[in-house]
Amino acid sequence: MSLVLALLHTERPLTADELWDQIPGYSRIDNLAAFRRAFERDKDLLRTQGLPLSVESVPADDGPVDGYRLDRKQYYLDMTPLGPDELGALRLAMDLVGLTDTDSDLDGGLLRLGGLVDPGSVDGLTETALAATPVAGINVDPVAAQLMRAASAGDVVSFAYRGEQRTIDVWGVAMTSGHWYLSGRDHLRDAKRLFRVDRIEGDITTVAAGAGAPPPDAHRIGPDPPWLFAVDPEVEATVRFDAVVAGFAAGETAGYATAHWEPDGSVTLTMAVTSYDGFRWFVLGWLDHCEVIAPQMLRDVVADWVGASHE
Amino acid sequence: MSRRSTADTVARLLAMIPWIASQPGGATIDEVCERFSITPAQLRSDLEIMNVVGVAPQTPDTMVEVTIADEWVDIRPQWFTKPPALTAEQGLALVAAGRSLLGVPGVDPTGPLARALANIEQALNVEPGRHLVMDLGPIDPEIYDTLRTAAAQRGTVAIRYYSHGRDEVTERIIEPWRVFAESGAWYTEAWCTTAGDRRVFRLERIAEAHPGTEPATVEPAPELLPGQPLFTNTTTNLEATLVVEPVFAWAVEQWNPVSTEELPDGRMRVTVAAGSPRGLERLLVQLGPAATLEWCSDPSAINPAAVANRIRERYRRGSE
Repeated sequence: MSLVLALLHTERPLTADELWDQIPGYSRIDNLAAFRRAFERDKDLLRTQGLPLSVESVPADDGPVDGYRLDRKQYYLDMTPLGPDELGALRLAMDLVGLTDTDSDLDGGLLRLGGLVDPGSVDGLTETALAATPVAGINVDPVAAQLMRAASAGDVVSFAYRGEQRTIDVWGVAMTSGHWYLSGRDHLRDAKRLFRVDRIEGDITTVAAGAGAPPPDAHRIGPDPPWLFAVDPEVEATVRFDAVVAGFAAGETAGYATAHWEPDGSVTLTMAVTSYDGFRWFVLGWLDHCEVIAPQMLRDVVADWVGASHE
Repeated sequence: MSRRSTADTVARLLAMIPWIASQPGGATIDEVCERFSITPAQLRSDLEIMNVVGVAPQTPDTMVEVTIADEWVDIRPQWFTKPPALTAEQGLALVAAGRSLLGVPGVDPTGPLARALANIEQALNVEPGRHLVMDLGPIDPEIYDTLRTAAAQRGTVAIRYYSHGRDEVTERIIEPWRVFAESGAWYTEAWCTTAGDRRVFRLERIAEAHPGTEPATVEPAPELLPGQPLFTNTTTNLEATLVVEPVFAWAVEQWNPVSTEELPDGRMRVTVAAGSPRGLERLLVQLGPAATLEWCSDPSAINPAAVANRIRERYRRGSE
């Protein structure tokens, strides 16, 4: 704690030698190797706490050496303190939502915001608690965390993906189907691309600030459905679903299709298609409960497939 | 002190000291202990550390001033006036958990949770829906509410359910045990009186749900442990090995294959477990000429050609 305080309240970067002198815990150490070990360990500790430790070059008698300090502007939490009801609600969320696969100290965030407040002691949370339901399997992936921060800062980042170095304007991260996805503009292709965060290879480096603004439809930052994989020229497809699956098909395509309901309970969906393979996959998933009406080209894409495969 | 406990102590002190300092006139030891999840003995030992913390030249006027009196503790807010900013992971954990819970039907959209989140998101400059999307899966609030209420009151629900795997619609009486979201879909785990067994139903496949009048008869089974499979294949244990063209890699992935092997020619050999013969037939029809069935644990159980034929017939009729 003395080290944090010294680094936070110094007007200039402090060298290791100065810190050895100043910090009561260090001044008891009488040999350089032991001090170096202790200092390295403590720097690690500050970094794992997410403290903004900067290293700057400082002139010294034998040439420049590393000087250290904590950036005061970045160090402090800058927000209105939360009330007990708000802290209780957040704790309830942390308890009910199954955050998994992480080494990080999950309660650490709550402690910084003001500590753990028993949700049961908060009036008005009863309804939330009753309505609440466990949500499982949300992975607090450090890479997703880094990318969310990059998105909010509007950063351009670079990383390796499928053996290729990518440069991306980071738009946002989405948790969908149990995985984290990154969406952004791929500089090489000059187009929106999605990346499975767990497939990013190695470290992510920030290349620049000032990522381009996302297009208006970028609010859909999750993966596109298979019929919108964007590999073929766009066509408008019309598909009829029998009553037995109509409701489910309409639900699955909500937001992507317009539905026209028939008196017999069947539904006709009109939807944009930019991947014929993906569209066929979707349509065949409903077996003989649905039929492509138009265009003829997509009818053939489906009919030929079942004909070609099992004739 | 071990590395872990040193890290815990530092993490706690960085948060706790500013909180105590911000309380006018200090705080009771009990309250501090509850908020920061420690014993009074731990608190005293933490505060002893703080007593020797100060800036150079470490004279009394530059030291952190800690006062402990009976049940009371106070810290002069000379240093550490505010807690450290959230780490990227702490920020993601809080916002992801908060947004997820806020997405559950019935949770007050303007209550304390929403207010706390708005405050944190502003501090992190995170715009929900743009920088972060939590997609728990589609949900019909009425069906959700019917199932939740029945689970809470130990009642029954009559449902009409489309089994995607079996490609059939069934009407069942179920006794919901719990409703939950996992991997982008909502489920209810229930006792199915029709099947006489535990079943897991996907909410988006429930077409109708009506509260029953009968009380539940079977005690809920213990909650599944993390990582425990949702579905246990009680009726079938069908496995198959397919060789699939690389262009369908994304589709095979959705099946969570038991094993995957990339072949020298770029194709993939995947082994999948199917919940039912209909499910495997569907996969084979969807993959069509892009896949070859190499092996099946029960080849007599499936007839993908017949399924393809039914679809072909429909297109032939439609073209006439």
